[in-house]
Amino acid sequence: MKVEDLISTEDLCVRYQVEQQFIRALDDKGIIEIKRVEHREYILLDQINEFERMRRFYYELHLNMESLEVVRHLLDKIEGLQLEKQRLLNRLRRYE
Amino acid sequence: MSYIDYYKVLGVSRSATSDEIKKAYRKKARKLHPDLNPDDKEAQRKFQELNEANKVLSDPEKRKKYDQYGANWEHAEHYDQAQQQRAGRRAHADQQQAYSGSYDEDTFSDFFEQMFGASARQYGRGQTSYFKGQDYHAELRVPLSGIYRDQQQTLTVNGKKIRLTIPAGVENGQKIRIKGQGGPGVQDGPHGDLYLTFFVENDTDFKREGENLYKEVAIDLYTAILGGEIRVQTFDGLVKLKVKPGTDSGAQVKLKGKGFPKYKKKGELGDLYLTYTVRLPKHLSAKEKELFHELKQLRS
Repeated sequence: MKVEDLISTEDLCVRYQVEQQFIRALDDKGIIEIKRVEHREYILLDQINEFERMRRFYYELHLNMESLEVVRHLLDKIEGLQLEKQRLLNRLRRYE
Repeated sequence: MSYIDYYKVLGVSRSATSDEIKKAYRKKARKLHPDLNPDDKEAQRKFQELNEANKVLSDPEKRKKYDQYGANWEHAEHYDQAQQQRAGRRAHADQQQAYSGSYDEDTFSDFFEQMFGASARQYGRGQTSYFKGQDYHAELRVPLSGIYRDQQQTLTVNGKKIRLTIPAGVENGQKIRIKGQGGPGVQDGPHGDLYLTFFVENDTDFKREGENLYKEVAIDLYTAILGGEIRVQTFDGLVKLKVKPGTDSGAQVKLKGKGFPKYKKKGELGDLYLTYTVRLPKHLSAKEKELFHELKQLRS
């Protein structure tokens, strides 16, 4: 894992105006994963999208932590159904 | 360009207080937020309309102008002239709440632009501190024949030229992420990503289902009955094929490895399924009719 693939949680707190506690709670719920390197905490840059999305749910839409898990689960389900729908639509094209 | 009833968009009365407007906005935003309605363009359009309504109705000055001229927006410039005659213009210090998210926050209706001007966009922006650049979303139409092999293409997204390789076998409706090709990050933040959705248009006579291809092949009656050799066009050229004697219309044969490339599995191809359609001879001559009668009698 390269250093440039990580972003420190301290940086995240400053740039997104969130509390450390919020990031840890996301980690506890398995939504993002905190990596510890030399006593500092980081998340993978690839997880920023998910972090931003959770931040919007929590701070802008005022969903609580428990709701985040539920919403995330339902969104995953929607994504799965959309993929399935697309697959079926593509199959249907064969009979058009 | 048509008039937009912002009160209707928010579902509040014309006499609604600022608290009622704020409450209505929050309630509707929770329903329509793009994060909660992935890939739903209608929800995104409504959400942008909602944001616009909130920008106008939660700003006393804009609301006043809207109430006065709303339906008669063409005359709204009189309002601006009257305002400019006043001593100094009051700065908009009000902090409005606006939601951020995976949508284009700079999209406003023509009605809004006409009435409040492009500079009005800045007011009431969310207080989101961005770090990672904005993700871009684009749609790309590609012909089926063009994605049989990896294809190099140069796209222009937001004025920036991006060279990319479209992998062979991409599916219709498939979305791929091109890392770092979105908007620039803020304060050394990473670039956003580019999300490309492919729409595959079939410009061939093959039907595709995943990596398998399907095609109807017409054979004449005599080949169907007696068997024979035909030539069939596959995606990578003509192939010779033996037709078994007594082949029925609707019979299917599989040509292994003659289908479509498997996505991101170099060198692996699906199968080609051919369905035979027996073509009956038309405009029979007297001699042919006589021979068919003879055949009929032999069979009965």
